[in-house]
Amino acid sequence: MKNSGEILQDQAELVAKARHADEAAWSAIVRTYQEPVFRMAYLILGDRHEAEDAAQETLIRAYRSLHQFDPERPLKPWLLSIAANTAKNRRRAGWRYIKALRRLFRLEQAVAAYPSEASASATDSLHLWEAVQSLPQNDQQIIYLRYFMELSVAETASALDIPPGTVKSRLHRALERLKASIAVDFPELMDDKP
Amino acid sequence: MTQSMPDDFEARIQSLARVFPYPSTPDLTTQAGMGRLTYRAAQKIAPQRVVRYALVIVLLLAAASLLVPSVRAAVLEFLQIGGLRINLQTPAPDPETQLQPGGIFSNRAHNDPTQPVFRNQPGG
Repeated sequence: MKNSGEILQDQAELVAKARHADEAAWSAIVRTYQEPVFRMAYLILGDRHEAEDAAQETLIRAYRSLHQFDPERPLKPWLLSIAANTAKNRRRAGWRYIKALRRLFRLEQAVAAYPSEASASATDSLHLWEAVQSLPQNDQQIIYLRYFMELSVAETASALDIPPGTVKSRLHRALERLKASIAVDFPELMDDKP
Repeated sequence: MTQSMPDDFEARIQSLARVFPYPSTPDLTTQAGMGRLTYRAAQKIAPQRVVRYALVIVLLLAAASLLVPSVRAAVLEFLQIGGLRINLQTPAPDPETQLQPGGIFSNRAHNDPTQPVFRNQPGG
């Protein structure tokens, strides 16, 4: 098992090779990070196809900006911040109201697709997502990064380019608002089920 | 600022977020692979460059052609700039001179109406 220093070292080597148009190195980066990038885009856009397009655009933008990336920092938060910005830009673009309706429709379908007791936690998770979507964008992003993408406080700080202390205070406020939203719309989520 | 958020709520959020049912991740290695990137970059940049170069060439040719006096005159003529046009024309014929009593219509009025009227008949 590699420690974080060795992972950073490997990552720095891959980035250095990819900068010199090494196809294998870039493919390795894409293979490693395509899942979190796609998932981040999906959380923001709520549509599989749009998330796929956004993930592709994220990786292309990342490749073009690779020379600006600091290899001393972890790659995942950097890619996730590009993914979040790309997805937000797409959401802001035209047809947003129609897309929002489609998102809502798909969300209801997705919730309906998990009716059994065995997948109750998945249904709760979808309800949590719905509650998060009712929060301001900054709150959404920090919750997605910290809890859905499971970044550490330091990685979240790197993704948002803010100090770790600010991450903690923003997270605290976001969780307070999320708790209030859940208490109104999804009180069943407060019952701690196994 | 006090960090008083109950840990159990945060833990609950963490546990729910961990089991979120994401759709399966598509394979982006081909879509965002190096070959695709260079192809897309060429596709995206090439038309812009071509249009830019074409525009510069057209502007340079237009500017150069204005250095030739005859071309410059033709352009000014076409645009009708910097000149006063004087048209020398013969005056238009007076309509009254065409409808004098000796004309074909007056002939028809004075002659036998049963006879056909011929235009441009000699002496008419």
